[in-house]
Amino acid sequence: MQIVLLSSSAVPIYEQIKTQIRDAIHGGDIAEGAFLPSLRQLAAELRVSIITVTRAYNDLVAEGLARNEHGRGFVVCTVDAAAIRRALSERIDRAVAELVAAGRAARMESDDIIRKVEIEWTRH
Amino acid sequence: MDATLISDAVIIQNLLVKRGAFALRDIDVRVPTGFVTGVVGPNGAGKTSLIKALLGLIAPDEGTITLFGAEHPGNRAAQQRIGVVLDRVTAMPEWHVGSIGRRIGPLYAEWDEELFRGLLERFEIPADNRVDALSRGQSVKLSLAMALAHRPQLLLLDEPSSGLDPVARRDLADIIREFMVDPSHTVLFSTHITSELDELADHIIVLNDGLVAFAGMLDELHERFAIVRGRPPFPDEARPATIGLRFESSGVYEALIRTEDTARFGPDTVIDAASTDDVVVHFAEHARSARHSARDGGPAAPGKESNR
Repeated sequence: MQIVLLSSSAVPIYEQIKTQIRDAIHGGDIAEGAFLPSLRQLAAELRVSIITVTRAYNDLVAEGLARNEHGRGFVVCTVDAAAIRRALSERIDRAVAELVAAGRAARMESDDIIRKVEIEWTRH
Repeated sequence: MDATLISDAVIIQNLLVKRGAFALRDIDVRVPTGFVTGVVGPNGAGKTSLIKALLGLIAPDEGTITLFGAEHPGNRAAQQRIGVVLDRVTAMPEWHVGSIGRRIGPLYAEWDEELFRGLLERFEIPADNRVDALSRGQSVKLSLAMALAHRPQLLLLDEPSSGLDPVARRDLADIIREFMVDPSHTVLFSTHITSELDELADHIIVLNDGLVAFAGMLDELHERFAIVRGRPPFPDEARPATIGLRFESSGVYEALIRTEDTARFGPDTVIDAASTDDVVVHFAEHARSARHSARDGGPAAPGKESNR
């Protein structure tokens, strides 16, 4: 798993860390039962404070994605496939809502938006 | 005694330190084990006095300082466990860097010459250089190497980044973070560069005019304070809720407030998140206007802004 932070983003750093780890879990990059990187090690690697990573990990625990095995670290919980599908679909719904709102604000036609989506889709 | 069992590496209670006309007073703070604590405040706020008192270099006039669960100063066992980086290297100017281990190593039970040599290499400080031939950046790194080589549990750094270029500053932050990988380690550093705190500190002590303006976790600081901005007229009844109230020439005002006071300001004002910088600047402004009104014979504003 590689975490890349954007320091100019309006999204707080802990949120970026949480989202990227969550994506890695959902995408199967971190297997169920595997340890997340040591909190302090990750803080040193990402050049962020310890509480920033603590907050991200605590949120992952609250979301049921990881659990804190005291003294040993954070372990990825049993991954519920249906919950992942639900989470991914909610993410798409949110992104689409944002896309439509941005398109309306820019007074674009839905065809233009769809064309932009297709360009982005084939770019990767 | 196992340091990992003590949740606060340093406990300062009711501290009073007089330094001429200046006094560090009513200091009640803790430095949590396993975290980086930043001490921030404008020049003259008392940051260096606080660190010197922690080291036993100046004796408190009142109050107690507890290090690793034992009262200090005069506690040699505690001294062994503290690594110190002050504004000057604690080595004689004519010494050669490579001879430092032989000279000061014996003072420490845990001096690790191999670690010291390794750090010198990593910091690119030639062992055959004299101490007085080092640049500011090299001096700070030498101090760090000396501090780390006796395997301390607490690292105290007084304005370590002042005078360092951005590359050296980043190296310093990296070394502190590496030190913190061990959860029994604790760091306390002073700075007046608030961006450094946001990147490095978990816990923060805001000093202003010898008093603690805030002490707590950094995210708590952001939850506790906000910035209010508005167009004239200023709601005079809300004045006591403001910290460091400032008026632009246009009449637009800005102040730091406690989040719970948000409702005291009308819908035509803007409430913004307070940065660490905002907190430091507005507390300083607050103290300055209190000093001015005291001098002009007006009512003195309350001096103490403590969260405890």
